[in-house]
Amino acid sequence: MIQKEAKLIKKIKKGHQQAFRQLYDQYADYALRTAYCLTKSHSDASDVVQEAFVKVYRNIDSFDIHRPFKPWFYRILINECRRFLSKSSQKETAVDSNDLLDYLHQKKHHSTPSYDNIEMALDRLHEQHRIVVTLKYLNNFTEAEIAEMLETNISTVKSRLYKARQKLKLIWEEVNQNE
Amino acid sequence: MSKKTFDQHIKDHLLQETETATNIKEETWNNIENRLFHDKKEAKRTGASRWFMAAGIVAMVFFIAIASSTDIVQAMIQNIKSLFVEEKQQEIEIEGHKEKQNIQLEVNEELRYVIYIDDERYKMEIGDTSDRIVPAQELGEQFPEVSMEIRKINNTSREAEIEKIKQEMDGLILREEENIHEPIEAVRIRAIAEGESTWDTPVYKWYITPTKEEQVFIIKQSYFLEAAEGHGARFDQMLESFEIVNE
Repeated sequence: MIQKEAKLIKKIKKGHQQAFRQLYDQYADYALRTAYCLTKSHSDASDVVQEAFVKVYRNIDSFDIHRPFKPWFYRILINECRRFLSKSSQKETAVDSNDLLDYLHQKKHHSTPSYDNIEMALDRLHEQHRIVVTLKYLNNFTEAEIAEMLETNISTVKSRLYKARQKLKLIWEEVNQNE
Repeated sequence: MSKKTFDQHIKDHLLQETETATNIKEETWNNIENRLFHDKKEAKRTGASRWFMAAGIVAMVFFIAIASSTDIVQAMIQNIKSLFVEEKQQEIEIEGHKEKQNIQLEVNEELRYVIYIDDERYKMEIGDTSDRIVPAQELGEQFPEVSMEIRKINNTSREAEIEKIKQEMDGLILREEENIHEPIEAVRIRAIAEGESTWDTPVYKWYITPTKEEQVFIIKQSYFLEAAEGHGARFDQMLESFEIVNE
């Protein structure tokens, strides 16, 4: 698989457009899902993914084909998402667990399905927590891979995942008890 | 509730929530394609390579003379060209310094290969049986030959061609023969002129591609010792983009 991908990238380095399209086909679905998960808008997700692939193409000469492509690509994608989020008016909502529970208590008279509750909880996570949750649960990356991508150490990733999971779990259990 | 169940809930939710995002895949690609390839082609019209323009003029004259057959040739050239971007930028390291350079697509439909050349420093000379990439500015008479020749040989094998090269090495010392993967998949033969090594001692490198349908490409680089890290490195950099286009 890695060898096949290396061949494809070698072709792209030589300017082969069809090879670039093949690479896009392999990565676009999950790139769009990831970007959508973080930006919450189809058109913004499309812009972010577009920017990421343009960067990949323009910088492909600096990519070492002996290394796996996926972490390199996701590092670019996540950086684009972050750039977009910091530029956009959507301010990061840092709410602690108690505030979240208050918020959900207000909503408890509405009979919401559990997916909506997770959605609500995810939306209220710190950006950095949402990124690790997305990479872990949507893309199935390991903590080590996420650490490499985010250029941080593995214990930071583990800690962010732990905190994010705790918050989500707290909200999820609370809401299910109240329903 | 077990951890697994909760984790699975998050996974399922994320997958379900983002399902619609995959519907914009094609639209996103169209935007990428427009930005990367169509804009480039527009830009290329002003900075078209001299060789390609010359080839275009020759082709036009040829068109007037024999219209029907060249229609097919032109369609084939367009077909190959459409597979590659016409101009791109790459970073190379020459004598320890990194530099960015614009490289230009060159297509030889007859020999069916493509290569990107640094057209600020080199030009392509089209011959009857081979093409040569030579310095754009002529070197003085005191310098040995500097060129990269691309030749396609039919009805042969790589082994036979390697043997021929070795037999024709009069006045040269074979320094290296090895299977390589960079800058291209080939057997590389390196030889230098006999005698005491000085700055202008000629150096020759041959890259012989694997035999395919009884055809072999031979790329011969000629330069001199002092130019190894200059012209030698630049030739290898350009050669990295060499690609044989299959029927």
